Amino acid sequence: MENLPALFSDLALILVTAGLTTVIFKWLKQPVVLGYIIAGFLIGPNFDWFPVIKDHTSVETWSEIGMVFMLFGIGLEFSFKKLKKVGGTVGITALTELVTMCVVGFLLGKALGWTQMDCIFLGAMLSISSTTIIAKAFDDMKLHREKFSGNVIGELVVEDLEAVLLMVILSTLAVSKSFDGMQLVSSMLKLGFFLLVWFVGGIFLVPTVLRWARKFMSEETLTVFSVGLCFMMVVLANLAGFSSALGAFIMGSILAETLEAEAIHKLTTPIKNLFGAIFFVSVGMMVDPQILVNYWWQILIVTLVLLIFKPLSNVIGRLIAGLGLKQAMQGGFCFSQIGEFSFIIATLGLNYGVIDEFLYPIIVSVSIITTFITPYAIKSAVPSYQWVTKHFPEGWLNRLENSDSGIKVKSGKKVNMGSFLARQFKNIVIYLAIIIAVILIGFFASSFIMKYVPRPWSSAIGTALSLVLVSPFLWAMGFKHTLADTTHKLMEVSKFNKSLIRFVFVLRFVIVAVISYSVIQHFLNNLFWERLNVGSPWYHWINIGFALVFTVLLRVLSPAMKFYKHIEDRFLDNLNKRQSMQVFTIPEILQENCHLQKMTLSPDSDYSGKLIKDTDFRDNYNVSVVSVERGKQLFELPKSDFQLFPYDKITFVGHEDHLRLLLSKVEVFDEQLIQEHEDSEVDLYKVEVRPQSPYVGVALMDSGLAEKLDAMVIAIERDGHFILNPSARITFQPADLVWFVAQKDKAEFLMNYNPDTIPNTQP
Amino acid sequence: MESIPELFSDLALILVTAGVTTVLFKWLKQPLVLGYIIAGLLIGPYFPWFPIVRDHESVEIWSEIGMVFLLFAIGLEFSFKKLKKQAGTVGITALTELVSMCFIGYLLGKVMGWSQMDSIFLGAMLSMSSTTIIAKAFEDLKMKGEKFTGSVIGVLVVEDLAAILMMVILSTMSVSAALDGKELMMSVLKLVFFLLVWYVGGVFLIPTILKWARKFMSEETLTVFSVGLCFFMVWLANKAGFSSALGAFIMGSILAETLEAEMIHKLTTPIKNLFGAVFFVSVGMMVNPQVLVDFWWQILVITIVVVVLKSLSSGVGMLLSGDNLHNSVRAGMCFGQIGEFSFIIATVGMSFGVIDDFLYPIIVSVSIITTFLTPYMIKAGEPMFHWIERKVPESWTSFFANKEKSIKEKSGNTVTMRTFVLNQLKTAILYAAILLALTLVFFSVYTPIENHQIRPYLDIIALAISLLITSPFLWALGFKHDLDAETEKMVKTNKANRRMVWILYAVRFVATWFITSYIFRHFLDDDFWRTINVQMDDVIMAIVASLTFLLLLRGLSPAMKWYERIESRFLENMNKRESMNSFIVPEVLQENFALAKMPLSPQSHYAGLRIRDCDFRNSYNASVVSVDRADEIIDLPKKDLMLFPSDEITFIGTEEQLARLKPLVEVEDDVLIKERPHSNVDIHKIVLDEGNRLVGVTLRESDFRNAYTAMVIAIERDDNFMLNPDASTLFQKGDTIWYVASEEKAQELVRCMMAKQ
Repeated sequence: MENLPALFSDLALILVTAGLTTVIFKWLKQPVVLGYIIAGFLIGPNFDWFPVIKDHTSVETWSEIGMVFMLFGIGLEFSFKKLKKVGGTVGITALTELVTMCVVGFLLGKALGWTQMDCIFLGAMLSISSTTIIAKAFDDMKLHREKFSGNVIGELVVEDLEAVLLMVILSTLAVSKSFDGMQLVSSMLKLGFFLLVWFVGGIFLVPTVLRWARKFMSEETLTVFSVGLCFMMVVLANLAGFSSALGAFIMGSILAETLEAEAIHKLTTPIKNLFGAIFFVSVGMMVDPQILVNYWWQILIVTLVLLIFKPLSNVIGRLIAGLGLKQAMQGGFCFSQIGEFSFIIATLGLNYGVIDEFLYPIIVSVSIITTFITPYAIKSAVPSYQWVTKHFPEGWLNRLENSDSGIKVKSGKKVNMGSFLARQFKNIVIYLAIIIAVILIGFFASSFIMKYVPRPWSSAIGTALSLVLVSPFLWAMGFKHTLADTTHKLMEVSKFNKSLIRFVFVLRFVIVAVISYSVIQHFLNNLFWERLNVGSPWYHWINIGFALVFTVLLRVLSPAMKFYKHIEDRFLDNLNKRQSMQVFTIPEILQENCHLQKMTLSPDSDYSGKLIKDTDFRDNYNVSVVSVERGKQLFELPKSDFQLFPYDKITFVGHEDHLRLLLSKVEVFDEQLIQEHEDSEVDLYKVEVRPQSPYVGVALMDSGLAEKLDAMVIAIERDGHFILNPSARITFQPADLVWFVAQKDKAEFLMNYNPDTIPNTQP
Repeated sequence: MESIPELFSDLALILVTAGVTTVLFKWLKQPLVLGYIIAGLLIGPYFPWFPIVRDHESVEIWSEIGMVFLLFAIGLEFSFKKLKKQAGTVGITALTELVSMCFIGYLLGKVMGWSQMDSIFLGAMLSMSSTTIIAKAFEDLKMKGEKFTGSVIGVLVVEDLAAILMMVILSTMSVSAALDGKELMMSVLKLVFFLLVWYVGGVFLIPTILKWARKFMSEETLTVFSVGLCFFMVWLANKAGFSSALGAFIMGSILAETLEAEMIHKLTTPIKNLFGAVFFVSVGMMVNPQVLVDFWWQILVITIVVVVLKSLSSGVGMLLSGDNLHNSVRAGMCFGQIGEFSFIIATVGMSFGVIDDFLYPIIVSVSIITTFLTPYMIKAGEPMFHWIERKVPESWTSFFANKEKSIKEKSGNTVTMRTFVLNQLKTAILYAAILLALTLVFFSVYTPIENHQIRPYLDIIALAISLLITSPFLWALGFKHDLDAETEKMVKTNKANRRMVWILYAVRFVATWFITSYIFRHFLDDDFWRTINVQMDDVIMAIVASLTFLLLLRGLSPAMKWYERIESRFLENMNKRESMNSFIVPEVLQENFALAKMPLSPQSHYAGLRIRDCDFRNSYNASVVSVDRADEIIDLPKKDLMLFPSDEITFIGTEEQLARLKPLVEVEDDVLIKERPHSNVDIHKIVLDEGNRLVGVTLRESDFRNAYTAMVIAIERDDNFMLNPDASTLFQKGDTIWYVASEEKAQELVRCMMAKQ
């Protein structure tokens, strides 16, 4: 018969085995990831008593797709704004941990006598914790409400970003095969440039396209479209020389800023789960038991180092960031494992062929062991804290003790020179990146024209095209700032300010001139001028002249450049789209203390069906309801006798900690996906009305069936006809066959109580 | 840098192009499928101004996976019970249409001078309508509630089944490359046998496993598990020599009987959409515009045939099944297109290399044109009916006119001898199939070894194991005559009946005997008897031995009670999903009554109403039997129960009325993501200067809440924030009050304050 691709049987094997092992691991209350790895181990080439995979290339491709989808998923949950908000403390902690672990890992590798590259990769792999496993542990142990959990989740977000950066650095290292500082810096610059361009371009284009298409988006088109965008970015990233993981992450984080983010997340999760399963299974397939036996002591040492140094560095990071000792220890102890990112990094190393084969199984086994230990490590945080307080000198402890920052007040923001310069610098960098990107696009477009149009004309067209394309951005770079109010105010403050600001403006002007010159020079080069018989020293001057004229023209055209404002507004609008889902934005001064959060009321929540005044939102959580969204309606500032329905989207205002506590009460999740229903006690019965029955001639509404016996008459069979859902006024007649729904005991009571109405069982 | 697989860029190309074209087609209010096909055309090898797919092999595998998922999803929505309920009317319609279209297609092919095979495939392809396109059109035209749509959907279900059958037949024919009646018979029998075994085995095993695993299932594991099962069945089907589409369909329909069905459907839909998109795009990629130009008149002819004759034959089918003219015309007009199944059949033909290359693009273009026409055809149904009514003589129309069946009365299910015999035969065939399947498994597992020393022992052990495992089914086939009281009475009273029953029992016993002997004979063959020095014919020995065994089994009848447990487990699994309902509507009432469970969507205007205030009874003659809310079930709710959004309400009423009610209860949003209604409240602040009238007033006494519908969320005092201040808080001089209010109220408030100063 028709030939089945080998991939089909491979998929059957992988998924069925994975399904069984994961269920078993869930039964054993272990993370699902371990189940996948064991499944992979079983069907891998190193395990004899089981069928093996046949189409290796395809499975590998699928597992790469799994990696792409996982990073896409992480990107979707990532948000630059969230990052900015958690910023300070979390950044310090994450950085401390990253640097310490990289160094410790590197040194450990050296001590074990591994190669330079192996050591670097080991350091990188040990520095990244597993988001999924920590999140899973929190779920299992119901720690969501603890104060430190918010902090930990924030740090995991930072770690995700670090991991992506690490991957880029490692790829660069892997290609150059040596630790070349210069190259690293240039590749970081390149990364920065591309990140900026993609993110800015993405935020400008994708939500704009989606906004138009929103009316025509069904679940199907949205799935296809978003997965397509993800792969497009993967291809783009690859063309620019970055890993596919980075591309997927970027597209995820761009889509995270759109209104569609949640829907996309929901739709791509099953796809991610499917391919992700294949990724983890193929991780397991690479474990060779022989290597584990040979390297058992290295595994042990790496595990021990990880278990000691990772939490330690994290706790220290937290202490540096100014947290209390207890919180620091509770938070830090969560980070005692490595997970999916380490696999991804290891895969990267293997793909480039820079790390040794044995490193992979070692890392996987370390990950397995530490994953097992994680819940116990988290549980041991409080006892360890108590032990530390008992055994350490008082003086030390006091210094470490809770420096919980009180509510800070930052009313009224002042504009000073420092922030002015910082902003100027930021703007210059962003504009520069955009301008370079646009010019590259212009060059690319012109190269097409060059093919079809003869020489001198094509150069002229190319120049014009590129300059027109880039002009709004050049204008913004050169002259937009001159219009701002605050700068004028600043200039009035002091003479020094004035000259400094002047200098910045001149600098921006010069940059514009230089860029214009280099664009013109690119097209109108000596070949072009030779055609026109203009000699060598002259055309440089002509080009410079053109550039200056163009720059001045830009300045003159300022009023016409208003449309640049549109572009910028659109961009900012897109950037803040998701925030605008909120009822209003909290002013910056209040942001420290007061947050808005939208929660969907679960049907299982105690609050479902309650009036607002009967809830304890204000008393126990010190939060208020700002608005309620229900279907297409929006109720703002609902009154206290407003009734909350399940699936209402309620926006609360309150302190972050309180909101987090409340969240678990409002959004209640069922532990079990599918529930078997308790058996219903009602059933359908029929009874014949005998001529002697007291019900003869009685109307249905007067019969008391509904009120006294909770019975519902659904049909009366009379003269071979059915009267469906009879009206309340119908009267019973002899020989009617009455069909009714009732509970068993009540039905029996009804059928037996009255001797005249007997159960109708015989034909 | 790291080189990515070519598949990545192909996927990017396919999906982005498909995304853009589908959105464009939605904008033009055309079905998505057309968008996919156009995307395929653009990126196909015949369209020069566009990049093309590079890794053809992988994309092909993906499109095959797409086909698997499409059929898996169809299976998930398929239900044997639903089919059984509608069987009569719907079956006649579907059969009329299928047979006439197959025939017409074949003739058409012949007339156009195509080869035998091409003509047969053409017939098959023309006979299949497109479920997705019709369903889509109903949705777009908001016709879901209309009565005739129910029958149309029913016919489509039958067609799905017929398509599966047709694919098997066509595959067999392709292999033998000729229309061989005997071989066809064999392959259909084989299909039925495997279907039976898989279905019975699947319904027994899978829900049992899921029942155990239910506690540990998350969305992730369920996704992985169900997709795994799907591929497992695809693999099994392939081993048995059937197409992967069949395997996927079977697993879908097995899972459809589990409690998880809905969840699996929800979880696999995005995956199906993704791979399905690749499938449809790759259909488009196979269209060669040159072929279209060369064959334009064939395309035209086939299109006209599809549009005219397909509608006509299904309309006639509806009339034959006893529906009235109005419904028949409107339903018939829905079927004037071909769709995904035709592609699948064409793909089957292509992969066997039995049809010519030009057939594929022709079919695809016919499908495109007819798909495009479908919504207009459906809309034209009503005018068409009026036209027919006017043009056709009165006597004809009155012949076809409304013979709407009055509600039939069939109270009291009398058991006749006929139903008894039928039941007996049905069970006998079922048991025989299970036994055959089991014996086949044993035979293939056990291969006798050469060693004569231990061989007899091994033979006997194998035999014992086989008999042990098959014994419950052997017992059931041979001796389990469950006679209910009524039949027994009939048998006692009538001599002819008694004879009939005895004959049936005898047949079952002989069949059992035969199978048992077969097993004995297989394990204890000539060699065996020779080794233990018994000079007897192995066949006779087997017959004798099996007879003894069966008599022993008969004696063990009381011990066989545990077989009943297997059977009841099976029946329980089978009815699992139905048991989600509060009770089962007895067969007598099924003609008239149906239970339907509908989730109440938040957009429905019933959300938040009390049952008393709803018009269920008055307008729809339906009653609420129970309400499922989160974890509890409220049976027979009182009149003053308030219906919450997302309650699952079970209604009882006639099928048509419930169908009319459904769109009002389950309101679906047209737009997936809405931009939020613009909110006009914002956060404002007010600073209390000296002499403000609020100074010294408590929050409760101030009229923020009542006069201005404003909410105070914070008070800033001495560089401290009081969040959500208590109602008894006293305002002081110098406080900054942050409050939320609408723009105009805030202005009013500020104006008021100014005035008071």
